[in-house]
Amino acid sequence: MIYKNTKDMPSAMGFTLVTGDKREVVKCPGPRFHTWDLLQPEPIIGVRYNKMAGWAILEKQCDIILYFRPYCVVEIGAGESSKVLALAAERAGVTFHSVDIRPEKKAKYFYSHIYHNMTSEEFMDDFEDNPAIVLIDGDHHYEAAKEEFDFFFEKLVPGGVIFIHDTLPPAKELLVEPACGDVYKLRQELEKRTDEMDCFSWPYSADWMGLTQIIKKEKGRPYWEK
Amino acid sequence: MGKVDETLRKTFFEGKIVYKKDVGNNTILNITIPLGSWDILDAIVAKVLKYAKGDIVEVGMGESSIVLASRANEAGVSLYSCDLQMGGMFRVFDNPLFKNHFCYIERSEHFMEKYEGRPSVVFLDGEHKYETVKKEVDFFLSKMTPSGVMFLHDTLPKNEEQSVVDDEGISPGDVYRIRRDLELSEKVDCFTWPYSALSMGLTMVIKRNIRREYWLNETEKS
Repeated sequence: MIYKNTKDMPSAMGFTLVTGDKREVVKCPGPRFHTWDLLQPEPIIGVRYNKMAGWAILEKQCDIILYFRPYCVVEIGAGESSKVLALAAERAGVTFHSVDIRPEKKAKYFYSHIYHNMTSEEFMDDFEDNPAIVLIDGDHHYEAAKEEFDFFFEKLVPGGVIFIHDTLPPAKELLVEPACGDVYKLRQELEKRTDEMDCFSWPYSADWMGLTQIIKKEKGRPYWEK
Repeated sequence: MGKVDETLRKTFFEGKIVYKKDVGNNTILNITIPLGSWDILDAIVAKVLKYAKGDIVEVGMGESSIVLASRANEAGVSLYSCDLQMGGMFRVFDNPLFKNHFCYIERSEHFMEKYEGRPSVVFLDGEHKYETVKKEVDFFLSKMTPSGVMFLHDTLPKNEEQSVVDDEGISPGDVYRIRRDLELSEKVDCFTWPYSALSMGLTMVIKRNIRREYWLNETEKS
């Protein structure tokens, strides 16, 4: 059996390996994955993660980005990542905007956490701030993600970072909604825009679905690059 | 190693003494990692080692060695450091920092002739010349584990004067040219932090994952 999306997979501590018709649930003692996962003879179709390790890469970088660039944080698509971003925003003393169309995702993790129960288009219509961190993990269609990226890239403070989730799915069976959709197309496009930005994709962490981070190149340092 | 600036202690490492150095006369120098130096390296290396187990290789010793040694020791992996003198040009330390710290006091080209491992973290901050760093990058990229990350320092000098190679090797020199090469490569992802790493540029490089290429379009596969 091949799972069409991660929601159908058993919620095991550890991860589920699906290879063709064969499924093997591997229990992990702790939040750890090793490179041997990537070296299996067949592709890994489904990966469940221990939530402790879900956003580890994002979490580690947020504190540092916000220390050097203390501006607001925006998240399109609420979930486990909200807790990580909220903690970092609270520590840095900045506002955290969380946007989702699902009312059940409403949360307020600290005083300056604002939940916007609306679409990203509606949010972008009124948003005028300059964020230092943006996480795009809402609608998994290329067009929607691109619209969100273009809007926030324009607004991003120099040195700020945009994170995009679901950009490197480990199997083509995951290129469907509500799994990863075709957000990977946006990553492919951004990788070519080397004059404006740096684009880096983590294959691990973030549910193993790919976490791409983009930084805008500083305009102040081009003179020695002639 | 100079005196630690107290104004820089409001960091993620506040109050954290990362290394104690015996400077003689019964004096112990506490070395901290000040704000803006190796905080991103410290944070990311810990996570890379968690997901991509492998050794750490460092070309150019210094305070960064202390950060890398600390993370290698925690993860139970080895650290291979190479420099022309123990502890780097500022002689930050005099002896290997932990049991599995292997120091090679020689040029990187000689070290590369001997090294046969597969590192998951590589940190390059040795000679600040494009030709030398290019050889190091090519060699270690071929050795690195599929999910490993390479870090290059001095890839974004603050001004034009700093991008000139000096004899002492203190200025970032023309290492930025290797960053530009890597940015244009289709085999790797490249990301440069303008802050942290003394604001001289810290570039992260990861190999694009060939295991996930089958769903790419035909142009990208070729």
